[in-house]
Amino acid sequence: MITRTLFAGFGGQGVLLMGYVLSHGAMHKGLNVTYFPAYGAEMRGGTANCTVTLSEEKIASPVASNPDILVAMNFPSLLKFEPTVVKQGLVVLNSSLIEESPSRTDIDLLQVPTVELAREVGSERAGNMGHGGSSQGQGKVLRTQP
Amino acid sequence: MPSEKMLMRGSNVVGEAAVRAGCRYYFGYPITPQNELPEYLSARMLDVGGTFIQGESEVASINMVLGASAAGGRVMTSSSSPGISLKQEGISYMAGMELPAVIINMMRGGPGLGNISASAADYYQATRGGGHGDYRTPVLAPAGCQELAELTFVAFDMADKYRSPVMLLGDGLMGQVMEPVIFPDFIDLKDLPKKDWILNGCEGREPRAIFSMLLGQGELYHHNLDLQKKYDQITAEEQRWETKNTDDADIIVVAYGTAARIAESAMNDLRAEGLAIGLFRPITLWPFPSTAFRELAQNGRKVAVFELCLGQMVEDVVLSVGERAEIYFYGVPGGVIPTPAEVADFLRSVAKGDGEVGRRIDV
Amino acid sequence: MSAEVAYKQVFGWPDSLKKNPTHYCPGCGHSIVHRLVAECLDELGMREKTIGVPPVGCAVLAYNYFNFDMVEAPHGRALAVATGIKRVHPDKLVLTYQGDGDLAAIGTAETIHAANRGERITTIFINNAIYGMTGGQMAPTTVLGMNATTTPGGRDPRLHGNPIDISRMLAVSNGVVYVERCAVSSFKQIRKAKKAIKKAFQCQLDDLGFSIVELLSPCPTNWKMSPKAAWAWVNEEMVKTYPLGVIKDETGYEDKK
Repeated sequence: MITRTLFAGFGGQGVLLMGYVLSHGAMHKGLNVTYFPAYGAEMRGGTANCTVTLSEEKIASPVASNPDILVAMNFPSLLKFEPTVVKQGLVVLNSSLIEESPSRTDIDLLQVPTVELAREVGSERAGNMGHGGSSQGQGKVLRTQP
Repeated sequence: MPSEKMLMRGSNVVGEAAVRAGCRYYFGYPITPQNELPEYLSARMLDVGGTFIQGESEVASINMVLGASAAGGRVMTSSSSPGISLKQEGISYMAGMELPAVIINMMRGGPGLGNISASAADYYQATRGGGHGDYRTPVLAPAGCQELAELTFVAFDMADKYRSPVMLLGDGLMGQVMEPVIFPDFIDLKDLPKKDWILNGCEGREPRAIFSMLLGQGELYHHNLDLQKKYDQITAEEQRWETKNTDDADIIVVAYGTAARIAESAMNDLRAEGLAIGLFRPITLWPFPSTAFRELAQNGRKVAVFELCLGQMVEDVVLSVGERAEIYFYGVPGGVIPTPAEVADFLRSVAKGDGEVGRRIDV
Repeated sequence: MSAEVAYKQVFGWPDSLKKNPTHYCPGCGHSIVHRLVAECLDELGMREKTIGVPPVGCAVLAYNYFNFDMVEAPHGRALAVATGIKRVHPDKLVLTYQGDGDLAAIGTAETIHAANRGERITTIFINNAIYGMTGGQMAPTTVLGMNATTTPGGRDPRLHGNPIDISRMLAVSNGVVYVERCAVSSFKQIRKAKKAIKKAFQCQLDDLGFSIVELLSPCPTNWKMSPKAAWAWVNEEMVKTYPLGVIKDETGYEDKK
């Protein structure tokens, strides 16, 4: 069982932290993990993405041909990465920012009103954490403790 | 005691491993994509009473390394491609003066300022000397965070054993990727190799001089022959490599570092399709593990070389195998990191021999 | 037989110098400065606790003459190399011995930054306004109007730039505590130079900061003068561009008259 999750969005949305938190949790669960951030010259305001691969087996490439899960925090990320998602893969959209829907019909879609959910728990800045959590809620790799 | 399992970035892994391997002196100049390493060590050296200096340039930094090494310190520097070019002067001098040090190169795209993405276009520079003169630098190529930690220890020990600069050659991806790591235990500084050649003041002994200028009749000639003996010994004793699925393979992929990780995924995918692909991963780039590879590359097997550049290591493959096997090459330049699927296309093409992806090397 | 006479040695070969004849030209200032450095280290009892870094230039073979540990540096990098040494052995006296090309042209960055970090290192800076080893090309310190093999007709500021006064430049840095310019072109100046060198070493031993002594030094061969005329040229011409004296002294030492 191998799961590759691609987190993508604007720099500043906490995209890299989402991936890091997932990686950390998975490591503590005893899984093999690779976390690969795509880094740019700009520190803020540019695009950011990272690929987290989780597996019970040893992981070969930290670079994924096709992610099983795409976590898109903004529209450009959806546009860019939607075509790369595997068939029957999962796309988790930040519906607070993305009004459009994926054009593909061979994927599962989860629309998360990230900002509104975060506001409910008291901090808009926690949006990435809520969103990251939703992305794994349907996954088979990590589960919340009962 | 080894450390607990920690999730760490490749650059930081090297920094922690260096400290655990007894390195107490670091000199370097910032350059992306390895800045996390000097940042990490600037704090870590304070913890362990070591020295961290952000030099005014790569040139100054490598010469601080030279001085600290001559003084007997376990010392390292780090940089990325353009900065490594600047360090070549000092590396050549250290080769000539037989001074140990560890040099980290997290390669980025070139030539010139290039870009800051992962690339592997400095294989020639790393393995062919890089600076002026008839010398070689041992080069270790890790392919993951755990190996970054382990090879950092190996690099320091090799440097001291052979009194030579040793390069750890990663790339932007190796510097940035995070994976769980278990670090080996701290070396007790008392257990570091004793050095009877260092400069520490001539109390109770004759003064020593360390230099690379040899003007006397025949002196440089003999010095070069002595160095060559050392390089021959390294070539005979230090070749390192890893193989996967090579026993039944019809095609052997040759790749190192990040490229090897991508190639391994491609291999796994193609094995599921029924293609008998094996992987040969050089861990020492100089010395290139020719002996082991020559053994593998026969009986009609095809050799498929994959690099994150337009073909540098492939020359060592050709030198190792010659006409004994068909050799194919696929490379991606400019800091573009191909996916396993793209490498799989290359390998399918090699299997069919249709030449659609990559090219056949004319030996 | 004569009555017993008590002899007292008043002059001898410094321990800090090996008994090797030097390769320096007749009238060259290097031999004098080597001796001054050696005498100072002897007097401070530091020979066995000293590590030196010679330059690339005429003094590149200084390790054949100085009787203490030495390591060669690439051209201009002496102060970077010395920085590495000093950080490993903070209890040792670390000196660089550098010419004008080494210190003030190719090594300017290393010089300024080591000094500015306040490295506890002493630099002995030989300024002879010419490239000696390579055969008389312009140095950064070549004075205006002076002939070098690469300044035909004399150094012209429009064509070749201006002579650099690196000592004064270094003096503005907070890391630098002692800068003095002396000459080795008269007996009086040579005695002064020795005092300055000793003081610079003391300043390092007392952990005060970076110290440098610049020595105007004759190069009869490349100046194409007799040794006597070269001394006179230093005293009469060179000092106009590089006036002698203390440029900076924050040591707090009371100089003995």
